[in-house]
Amino acid sequence: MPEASAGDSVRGDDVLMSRVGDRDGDAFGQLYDRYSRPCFALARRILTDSGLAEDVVQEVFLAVWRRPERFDPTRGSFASWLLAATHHKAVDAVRREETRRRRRSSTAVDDERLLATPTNSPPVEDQVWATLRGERVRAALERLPRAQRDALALAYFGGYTQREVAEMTETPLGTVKTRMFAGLRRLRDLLEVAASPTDETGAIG
Amino acid sequence: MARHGEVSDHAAFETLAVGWALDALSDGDDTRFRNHLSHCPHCQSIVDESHATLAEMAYAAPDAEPPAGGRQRLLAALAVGDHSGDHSGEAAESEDTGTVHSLSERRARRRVTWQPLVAAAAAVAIIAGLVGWNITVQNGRRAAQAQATRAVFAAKLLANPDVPHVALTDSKGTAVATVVQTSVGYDIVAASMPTNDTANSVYVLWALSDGRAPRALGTFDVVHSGLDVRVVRSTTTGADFQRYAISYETGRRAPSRPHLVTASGTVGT
Ligand SMILES: [Zn+2]
Repeated sequence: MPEASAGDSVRGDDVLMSRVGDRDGDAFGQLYDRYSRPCFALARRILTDSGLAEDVVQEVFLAVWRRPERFDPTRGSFASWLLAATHHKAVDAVRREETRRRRRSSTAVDDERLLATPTNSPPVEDQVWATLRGERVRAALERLPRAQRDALALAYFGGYTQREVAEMTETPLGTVKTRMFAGLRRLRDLLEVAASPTDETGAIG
Repeated sequence: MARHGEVSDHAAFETLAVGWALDALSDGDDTRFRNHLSHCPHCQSIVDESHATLAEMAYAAPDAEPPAGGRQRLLAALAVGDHSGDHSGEAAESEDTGTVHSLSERRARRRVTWQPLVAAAAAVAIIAGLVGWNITVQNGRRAAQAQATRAVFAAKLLANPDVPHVALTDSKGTAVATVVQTSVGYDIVAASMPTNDTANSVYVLWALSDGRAPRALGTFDVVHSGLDVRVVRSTTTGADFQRYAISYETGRRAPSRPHLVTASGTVGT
């Protein structure tokens, strides 16, 4: 089952990161192959600009290489740490730039870049898993109450602050905070319920 | 632990912890929570847990291909950055270049190259092609799952040197497809093969052996031009074929001999 690769990945990531700590470039390259794509997709979603998103991904991975000790495996998986770092930098960039319109106007150029031949090759198991994973998350998000889903999406994918979300949705700030809190908790529960048991063998059915 | 006066409204901090994980706190809240977080392991655990859930949420973002060359730019940045201001210049630089190469070489041998399709073995391009592959949701979850499983399967096979697979290239030497032997026939992992008109044409997989006429192993369609994984059912697997070829044929049946060979490859290369 594809799930197997996720389980394998989690275990493998920690090993790879400890190798990165020993300045192992091959381990670093494997992590890049595995995660540059979801990182890029997230950053691009937030920034709506491929160039800026790529800059973010580069910064994030440079930081991984230079300061691998910042990753603390006792606090969570490498993927969640890396994606949180990506999110943080992307949101920083989107607020720094304050150029949503300008970014939108540059999409024609972006599309050309997006059509360029890919040169990096994440392990396909991870790629397929990521796609299934995306479906699963989207299904879970659809089951959230609309207000919670919108609040989470505006903050997470839109890069808006809680105050901005409150203004945009004409909702009291306190309500926005609790919506995000409740929504994320519900999402966590939904994903746990939906999660399939991990196949340790990695065999394909 | 908690500072004076904070215990009573700790629930408010727990709520802020989620906003913090979302990078969504407004200025005042941000400062307030930052101070609190520095000495509250409970809120830290909420932040960590929120990050885990949000990492899942990240996968709901529309899939997007990183621009070409990102990996090389990153490596270049590493090479420069790690030794910036280093006066032992050349030695350090060549050492770093060595790292970059060792990075690439081990992987390139199997399936990855850092260069844009330079000297690519067929499998390299095909795996790269897989990157652009999206599961067709409209076919329903089960079909998507089945195809996903097949792609994973094919990928594992391609990554496994013990499993017979043959890279096929076109007349210009460009990697076009990989043929993987399976228990029921062959998987065709097609990269950048043109789609065929499934009403009036078909692709045929051929086995070629010295001194014998080409043998049609089965037919298949290419329905996705970027990347496609197709199954050719055939009872003639495992024979000692030396070469495989793919031909494009008008009509829906395999002719007695190939007309327009679009790709071919030799076992063991
Ligand atoms: Zn606290």
